[in-house]
This record gives sequence, C-alpha cells and structure tokens, in this order.
Amino acid sequence: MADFFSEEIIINILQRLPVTALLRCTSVCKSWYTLITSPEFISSHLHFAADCKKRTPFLLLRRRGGNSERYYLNSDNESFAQIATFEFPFRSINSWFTIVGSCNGLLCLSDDRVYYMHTVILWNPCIKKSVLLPKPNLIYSSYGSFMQILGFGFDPLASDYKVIRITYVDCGRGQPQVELYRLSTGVWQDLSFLALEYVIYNRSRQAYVNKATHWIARCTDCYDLIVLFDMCGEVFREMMLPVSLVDIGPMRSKDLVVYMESLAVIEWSVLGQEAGFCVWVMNEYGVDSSWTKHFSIDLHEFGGGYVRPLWVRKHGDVITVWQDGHLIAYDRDDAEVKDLGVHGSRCEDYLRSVHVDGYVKSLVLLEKGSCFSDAVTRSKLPALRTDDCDSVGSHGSDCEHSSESGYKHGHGSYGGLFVRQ
Amino acid sequence: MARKNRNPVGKNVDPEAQKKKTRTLTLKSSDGQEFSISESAAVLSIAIENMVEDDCAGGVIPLPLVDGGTLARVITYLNKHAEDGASDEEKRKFDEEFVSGMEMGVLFDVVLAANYLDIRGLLREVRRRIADRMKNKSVEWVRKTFHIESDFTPEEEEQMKKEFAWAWEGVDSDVDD
Repeated sequence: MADFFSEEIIINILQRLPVTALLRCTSVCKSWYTLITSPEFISSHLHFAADCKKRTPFLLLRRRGGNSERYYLNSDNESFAQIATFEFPFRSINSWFTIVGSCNGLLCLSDDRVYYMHTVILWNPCIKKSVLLPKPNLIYSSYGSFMQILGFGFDPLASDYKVIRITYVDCGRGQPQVELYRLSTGVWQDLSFLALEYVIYNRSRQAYVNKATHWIARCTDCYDLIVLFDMCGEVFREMMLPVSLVDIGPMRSKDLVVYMESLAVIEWSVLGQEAGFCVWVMNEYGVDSSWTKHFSIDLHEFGGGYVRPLWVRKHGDVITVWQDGHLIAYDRDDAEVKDLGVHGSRCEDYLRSVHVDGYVKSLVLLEKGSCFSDAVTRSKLPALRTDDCDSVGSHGSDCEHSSESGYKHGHGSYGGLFVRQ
Repeated sequence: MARKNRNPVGKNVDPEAQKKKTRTLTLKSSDGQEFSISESAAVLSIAIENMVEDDCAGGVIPLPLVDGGTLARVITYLNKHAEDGASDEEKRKFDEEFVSGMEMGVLFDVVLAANYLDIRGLLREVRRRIADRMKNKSVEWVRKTFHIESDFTPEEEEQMKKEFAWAWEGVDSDVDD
C-alpha cells in the first residue's frame, strides 16, 4: 500500500512530525534518511514549524543554575509551561555565553561577556549539532583593545546563515572593521569597505526581522537610531527610532525585541519615579511613521524590585526579571502582574544571565555530517586554562569595568584572573 | 483552470449554485460500486470539478483508483462539507471525529483518495492524523505500518541510534491505538 505513496505524500506527512520523531525516522530506510536530511526538506519542515509557531510560539529561556547555564523551552501561552530542557554541552570562561541571536532553531552564542574568547558557536539544541566559527581576523594579539558587536541571521535567498562582526577600534574614532562569516563558506570575510558611520551600542541586543539584523546605535550628531545589516544584500542601513526615543537621558535604556514578527523597542528605567517601561512596535516594517506606542507601565509604586524587561510575549505582556530572581509578566490590558513560576536566586550573576528569546524547533544543521556534532564542537573549544592564552598580561584586573565601558582587552588578556573551570 | 466560487455566501442566490445542489452525479469505484452525490458536494474535489467542467463526465464518473469502502467515506466527508448551514465549528468537529476512529490502513487509503481527488481539506486532516499517530512510535512500527524494509546494515543502524540516542527515549509501545 505504501508503495503507492508518492514522495509528495510522504513529505507532507513527515513535515508535520516533531524534530525527535524525524530523527528516529532517518533510520527507517535510506530513502527516508536522504529525504529528511535534505536541505529542501529541512526548509519545508521549518516553514511548517514556523506556521505552527504563529499559533503557539515557543520561548527560549536561558538562566544560570548551579555551575552551568541552563536552556529551557517554554510555551508562550497563558501557562508559560516548560516543555523541554536542553542539556548545555559547552563551557564558557565568562560563566555564560552571550546569546547573540535565535533564528530558525539555531542559537548564535558568543563567549564574550567579560573577556573576548572569540568562541562563537551556532547551535541547534534540538538535534545537538553545532559549529564553532573560526577566529575572526581582528583579535587582541593582532590589534589591541577593541569593542565588538555581533549579529546573526539568515539569508533566505542564498539559504545561508551569517554572522556579522563589527569591531570598533581607537575608542570608536574612525571606521570600524567589519567581518562577515557565512556558514556556507566557513570563513570570515573582511567587509570593512562598508563604511559604517554609527557606533552600535555595546551589548545592544539584536533583533532579527525581515531578513535583517537590527541594533540600536548612536550617530555622531548624538542621537540614537536603528542600524541594520541586510543579510541578503550584505549592506548596512538605518531606520529611525520613535521620535521620543531618539534622545534619552542616561537613566533610561532601550532594547530591541521581536514582537509578533515586528520590530519592537522596549524603553525602560529601573530608578525611582521613572521606574517602568514602554513598548513601541513598528507596525509596518521600514516605515518610520508606523511606530506605535503599544503600552507603558509605571513601576515606581512596586518599589525598586525590578531589574530589566526581557521580552514581549505573544499576548503583549512583558516578561521582566526581578531582584529576587522571579520572572514576572505584566499584562498590558489590565495592568495585571503575573508570576511565571520561574524562580531563581538574587545573586547578580543569576539576574544578568537570564535571557528570553523567540524559538522554533528545527532540523537546521542536520544536513551536516557527524563533524558538526556537539561533542566535536566541544572538543574544539579552547581549554579554560591560562597557559592556553596568547599572552599573560595585567589588563584583566579591570575587565569587569572595561566591559561596562565598552572596550576590552581581547583574547589572551585575562591572565589567570577570573578563570572559572 | 479557473476555479469557480463554490461556496457562495450572501443574499444573492447564485442560480448556478442552486442547480448544482439539485443535480446529482454518480461516482463509480474501482470495484464497480456506484454512489449518488449532489454536484455541489462532488465538486469540493477539484479533480471531479475539472471532469464536470470539461464535460467528460457523461452520466457516471469512474474513479478507478478508489475502492468502494474508501469512496463511501470520502462521500460522507464531502456531504458534510457541502451541507447548508453547517458552521465552521461543526465542520471542524466533524473532521476530528471523522478521522479519529480510522485505523492506519484506512487513513492511508483515504490519503491516497484525497490526493487523487484533490480534496485539500481532507488531505490536510488525514496527513495530520497520520503524523499524530506516528510521532511517538518506534522505527519498527513505522516500517511495519508503511511496509518498508530497512536497507541499513545493523552496524549503520546502531551508529544512527547512537548519534541521536535521546530521540529513542520515551517511545510508545508498538500497539496501534
């Protein structure tokens, strides 16, 4: 009977299966293996998953627990139920990785929170496959102190995943160096001829929307704007922020997020009378006049417990992390406060480690051979020992400070200090 | 070929639609059984609609790839979806119940028929149901159900199982539900 099944029928059935079932199905027979690991199937499965995601989206939650970082998948519905836990296979010298971005089931992780390790990994936790990017061209031993910004996204025209790296040297005076990594080629290419006139804020959270990665930047005329890197055209462009966010006092912060596939910005403050946040959504992509204030919440009456907003959920409520380690959601409609049932510690490290991002389960990287397994990636990671450093200097002592101010003494500068096994 | 608006809504009664409701077609299965069905229900199948429009139908439409049992099920589906006044919610509930009692073999027959007759909604429903039944099943169950013989060597199979070991955890028993 099944002999009559055309490949089309098989594909249409299989693309409805969850990732783990498909991993099992690769061993049904050789033709199913070839089918399921083909780039075409991986892509059609992703489209199907993305459609389902619109109905019940997933949220990736990362937080520190014990001595390692932990990754969870929660459903973005009323319950915020935890539906999966991802075992974290890598180790970081900075206690946890920076999550540069989440796109099509791949996470881009960078070990650069305090010290630049130049360890950038693309990781698909659902299939436990990953790739360690080669070292970029501009590093501490080749230049000295610098500040780097990373961006991650997908180029649907070339079906390629890309990581863009912008490196500011000389304290932001002069042109930054720009390098682009393409998964298809596996190397960094120098794109510094793309003269970028703006300084992207250090730790500006990226938002990948509409084939481009966006950050908040400051232009030399001292106003803030959005800078984007178009993953297909491989060019930088800029967009306006909502007018009232263009220039803001030092007490208020801005973060880009993705809300219902639109670009959104959360503006927030933790201090005194100003405590609270507001969410703006760009209803029509690329149209500056379509910025709409979604809602704002005044939090000063809650008394100083709130640390920062993390994400805008599907129903418009905002997830925030509080000083006691709780995750709290604010409902915009009735200003209701809801405990999401995720409780952590008060410790500063924990609070900083919490990250929430959109997520879709996918088979991306399944087409790659066993050399892309997490075990192989892990074996390639630099050992977290001081004698593996390029040089042992004394710059490391003020690293925590220098990471705040932006400029870091790159790889090899951590000289025995703060080494965590 | 341009598709006509088969489910006209609104106050203006389309005379063509009215005619379709009263006109009856006869579908003939591979094993020679004949079924009467209103034209308005039959043309929910794009393939039948094309045959009717091309006027190659004559009196009886032969469907040599669909057996009588399967055709009877398909017609039940078509009649429900052409029913006057059936709400979307009612249809959704019907679809759910329609496929829930079917064994895998029957689902396979229906998916083939729905594919051949080009009935999009039914195809979607049945594919979903099949995937739902498969998702927690073992590799052996999938092979048996789809009549597939493994062409991997035991060593290759072992290697694959090792690579994605966690995917083999929590698999249901092979008893069909």
